[in-house]
Amino acid sequence: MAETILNMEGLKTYFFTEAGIVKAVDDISFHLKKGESLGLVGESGSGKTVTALSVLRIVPKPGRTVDGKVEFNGDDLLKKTEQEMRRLRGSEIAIIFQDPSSSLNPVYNIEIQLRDVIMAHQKLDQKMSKAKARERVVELLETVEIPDAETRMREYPHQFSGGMKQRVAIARALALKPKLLFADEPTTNLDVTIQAQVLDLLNDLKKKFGMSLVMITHDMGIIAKMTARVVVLYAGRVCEIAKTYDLFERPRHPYTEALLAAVPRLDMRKTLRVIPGNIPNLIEPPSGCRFHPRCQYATQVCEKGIPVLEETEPGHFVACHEWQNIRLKGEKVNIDQ
Amino acid sequence: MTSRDLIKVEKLVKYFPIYSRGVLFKKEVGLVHAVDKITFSIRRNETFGLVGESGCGKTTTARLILNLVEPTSGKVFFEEENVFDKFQSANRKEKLELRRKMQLVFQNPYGSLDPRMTVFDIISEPFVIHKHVAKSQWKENVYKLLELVGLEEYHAERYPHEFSGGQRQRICIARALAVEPQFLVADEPVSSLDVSIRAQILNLLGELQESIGLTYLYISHDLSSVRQISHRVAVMYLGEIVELADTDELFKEPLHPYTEALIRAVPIPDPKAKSMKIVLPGEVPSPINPPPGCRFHPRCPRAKLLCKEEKPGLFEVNPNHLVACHP
Repeated sequence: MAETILNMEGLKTYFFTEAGIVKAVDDISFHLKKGESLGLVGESGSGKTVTALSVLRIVPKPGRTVDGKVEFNGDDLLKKTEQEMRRLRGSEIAIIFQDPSSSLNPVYNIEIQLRDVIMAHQKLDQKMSKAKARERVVELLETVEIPDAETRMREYPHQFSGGMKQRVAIARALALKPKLLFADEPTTNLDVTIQAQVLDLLNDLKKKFGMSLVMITHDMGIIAKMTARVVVLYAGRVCEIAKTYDLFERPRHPYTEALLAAVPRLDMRKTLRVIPGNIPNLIEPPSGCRFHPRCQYATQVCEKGIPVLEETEPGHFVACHEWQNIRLKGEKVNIDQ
Repeated sequence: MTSRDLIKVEKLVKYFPIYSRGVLFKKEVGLVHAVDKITFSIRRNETFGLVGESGCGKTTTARLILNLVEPTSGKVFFEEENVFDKFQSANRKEKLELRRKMQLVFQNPYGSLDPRMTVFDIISEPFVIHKHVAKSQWKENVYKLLELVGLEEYHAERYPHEFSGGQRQRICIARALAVEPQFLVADEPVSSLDVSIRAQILNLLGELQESIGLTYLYISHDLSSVRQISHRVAVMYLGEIVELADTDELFKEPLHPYTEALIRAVPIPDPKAKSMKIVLPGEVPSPINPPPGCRFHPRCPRAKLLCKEEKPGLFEVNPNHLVACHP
């Protein structure tokens, strides 16, 4: 059994806005093993990104993590001082954001931005020279397969295409060989053929550096391709945790099932099942199970009691009152072409 | 007599000039080859899908068909009528008549609804312009349209900010349908929506087609949704159509290497699906200086010497299956 690198228990991150308290992440628990690829799936407002930001403790104001435990290699990150966190960010835990054009600084060239990351984390007694840092930047850009790295690193972000910018962002995240990488919708803004390139690159680098990866996305295709285990989030809570295979074949939560049935597929034409209604408002989320107003299997129990995660089979957890009484259909998998 | 084709596009070309900042006069320094000699037709009551990556000219094609931009050359026929000529010469009344027949739904439902207008004002604005509905009938018509797109009567008094993305897109569709068009261009109508909402809108478009007999031009970069909704699909690359076929045939047996790569690049939501991916090297070249010969040759795994020199024509290889690739 591999060691656990990240263990999250009862994480609650709320945003204290004028309109009320937005419970963006409300009691989320899951863990991640060393070298594992975990998917965080959910729609907008489900708390995927805020979960990642909470781990790095960079939740923007007026948000605050109010409760919970986030253990990274056994240490609770929420108890660390800001200075200790600064040392961890980048060198141990890194993140790639969705939009590379806004996460890179437009007024510095690529070399300076990457060099800064490398030099900022050097201990004083072994301060790296600029020339040496530059070598490392070239090396990094070559790892992310940017051609002609030595000349291109003197260019500015606007001179790069979307896919290339995302490669630079990946290079920056990997500069200090972190143990854990969050990729927050890294390919949403990219074209399909470029998306394929970037996903391949991420997979290769993960193997090469032996990182653990948390892939945040709403695209079930990316989940199927990139991850071994999945956490399904809905309105700030965990619905289901399962191995990727099991989740697609035997979803236990009505939301997971509906989500799978609502996505059009390239390899076949199917009747799309509609999930009625809209994503709930998180200031006053629905009582009981948050999915109950949109759930076709909902009963009176669902309106009142908050469901807890139950283990349906080894490694497969679901938070649903009715899971034993309903039979859900998974996606038709295993099509031989 | 009505022909099978509602829309015919013939050798349509649109180049956008690029200017440099001159001293006294602007100087033309180049041309963006946005759409380059494309020919296709859209049949009545079908959904014609147009796919391609960003910058390949999908949206420009739609704007040309609707005559929102003037073509550099080429023709568009709507029910045998030359759209461009009609808009050039006709009087206002005739122009409006033609406009009424074709409508557009935009990608971003946040940007395409006026935040200061109520839903009633938004949907009844076409009545003000086209005057095809008596004022006494407005209310009834608006309610009917709201019902058609799955909204409630009380929504009419609300403002766009009170709606979610999916509902806004429904409002946009209702507004487009207010003039009783025959032809609807849907330009990435679901890209900015959440996954669970996308299915709602795609199904709505399908239902509307059946109930009122609409013809769609469905533009998207998302191949899965194109497969779901279209009857025939054209694949564009750098301003040109590289392949055109019935949907099922195109996705089962793509003949153009670009189509093949595009299809294989999409991750399938099935962990057991065998990944037989062809990762294309490089990126889409600039449409200012498109590569000579076949525009796809610098990225093509099967490129030959001929591909660099000669541009392949779009030929019918199998019945109803057109491909632009050297054999």
